[in-house]
Amino acid sequence: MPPAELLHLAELALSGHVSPQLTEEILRAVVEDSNSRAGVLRLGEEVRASWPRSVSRQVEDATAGWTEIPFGADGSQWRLRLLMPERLDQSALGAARIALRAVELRDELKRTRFDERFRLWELETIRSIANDIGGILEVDRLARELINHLVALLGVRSAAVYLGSDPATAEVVGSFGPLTLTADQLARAWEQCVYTDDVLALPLESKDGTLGVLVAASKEARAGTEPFAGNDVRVMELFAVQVTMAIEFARLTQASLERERLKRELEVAAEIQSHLHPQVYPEFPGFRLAARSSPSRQVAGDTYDVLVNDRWLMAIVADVSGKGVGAGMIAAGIHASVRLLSETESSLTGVASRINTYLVGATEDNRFVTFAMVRLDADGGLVAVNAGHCPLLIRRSDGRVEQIPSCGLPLGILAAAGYRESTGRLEPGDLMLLFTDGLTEAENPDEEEFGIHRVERVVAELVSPTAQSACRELLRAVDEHAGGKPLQDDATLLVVERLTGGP
Amino acid sequence: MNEEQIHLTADVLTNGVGLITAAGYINNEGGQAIADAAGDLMERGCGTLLIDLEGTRIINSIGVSILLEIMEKLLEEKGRLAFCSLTPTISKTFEIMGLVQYATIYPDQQAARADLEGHASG
Repeated sequence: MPPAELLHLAELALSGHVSPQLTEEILRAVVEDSNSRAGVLRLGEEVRASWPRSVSRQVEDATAGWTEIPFGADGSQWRLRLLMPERLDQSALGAARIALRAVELRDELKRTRFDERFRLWELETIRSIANDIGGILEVDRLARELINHLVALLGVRSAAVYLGSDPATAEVVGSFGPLTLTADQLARAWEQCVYTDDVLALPLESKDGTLGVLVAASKEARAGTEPFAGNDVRVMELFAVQVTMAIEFARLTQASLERERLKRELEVAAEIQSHLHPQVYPEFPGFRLAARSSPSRQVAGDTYDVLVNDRWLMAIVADVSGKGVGAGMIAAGIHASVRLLSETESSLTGVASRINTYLVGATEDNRFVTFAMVRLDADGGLVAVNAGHCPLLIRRSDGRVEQIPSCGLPLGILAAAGYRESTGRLEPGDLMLLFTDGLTEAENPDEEEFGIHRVERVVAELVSPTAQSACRELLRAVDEHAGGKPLQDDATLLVVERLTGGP
Repeated sequence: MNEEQIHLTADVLTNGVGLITAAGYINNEGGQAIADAAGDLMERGCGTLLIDLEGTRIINSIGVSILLEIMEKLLEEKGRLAFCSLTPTISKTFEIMGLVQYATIYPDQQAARADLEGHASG
């Protein structure tokens, strides 16, 4: 009969209460039962227990008299070595064999459970990238979080995410541990998976091409490192897909937010610009005004203004080359300059020259401003400066149309440019029209411009020639010409009407 | 702080509680350092171990398996294992890997010590 202690240990093992010392206790019981001098228990080549504990590999090799008993069953790898056993009770050995097999199965179960949980961990990590990390919009922070997950999941000592338009200029946006990818490996990984014992690198492939490379290196084992396995490649591939999606999502969302921000800024700029234009036309006895301005974009390069004092009324129209925010900023500068200079400069050519000098020094070479300015006194006497602008039109009360053409270069081209004043008179019932080329250059579907001659004809044919009707009829004619298409350029129209019943 | 290296402290608190603070990567080296510190505290009579993971953001499977071994060893000695200051990611990992079944998780060291040291003395 096997000794009671071995039976008890077998029962313990079978019940699942396996302590780390159980293997040693089984060996000790066998050594004592067989009255051996010592015993060693191996699983495969690994020594799992020695009794007495002082029996080292060297002691074992240096001692004669060992009896080795194949101790396995059902494919088990246990080997029992006893030193000079005096008796071998088969039933005791059987009990020990059962106990050890239970220990082995228990270990296998533990490993299987660990592996099962580890697979769940893998899935949870991949899921968390989609759910949790996917909400991170800063690419650098996103990359760092992803790297932390990758390091944990693959159990590697280093990992990195490279992002860029090509391998030569790609930059590391997140890393852990020392970087181990060579320039050559990075270039290869940009195209396809690089898979060596120590390095695993995958391209982050989006529909628009490769975004970058995900790399992991030095896979850990219980002691030191071990080669990457096929399962690691599978996990990395899943990871790379999630990383690509997360990075693309972050980039697209950022771009969308940036567009929204710019849109809001443009709306604010457009609102500010619209407030620069007169909201209510200042009163100047004997005259009436009307104006229309339509930007081709939110912020226009056109500007206009009307200033009055007790002696005169001044009407200004300017058109900055180009469109959008840059042109709008210069237009705002022109607007402010005219307001300030008109208080101190007695001549219109002085105003034009000073703005010209400022613009030549302050703007890019390809920026210029066409500029028209008219000053009218209470008797209708007028002085005008036209710097490279569309002709100013005077529509006489009998329907004739006269032009005040440009008398110099646009502002901002040449510091030495000179400007000349034109003079004339606006009689009661006459209209003065200032407009920008957005009006005359409006094209019909055959790409034919509206042109100055059509402006003159519409104005000449006005049935009821007032400032309001001139604006309305001109814009209607332009819109009809363009076939309802939006204008390609900013268009501004300012009309001054000298009233017939005025002073 | 270099996250790739583990930074440890080990202290014997009152009433048989041992405290290990671990900051850095819990991999094979980091895990083994914690296991060594745990073994040392157990030899010094600590039946309850509190592992504070403030500053630890990454743990791999080998690190988890070493922590499981520490837990088994403690349970064998009728001891108790507790963790505190876990990041949400590590907390989730411990949950999936089965560590929370036998170890107690506290939000921070203060809460852990209030419970463990008070509990041990009671």
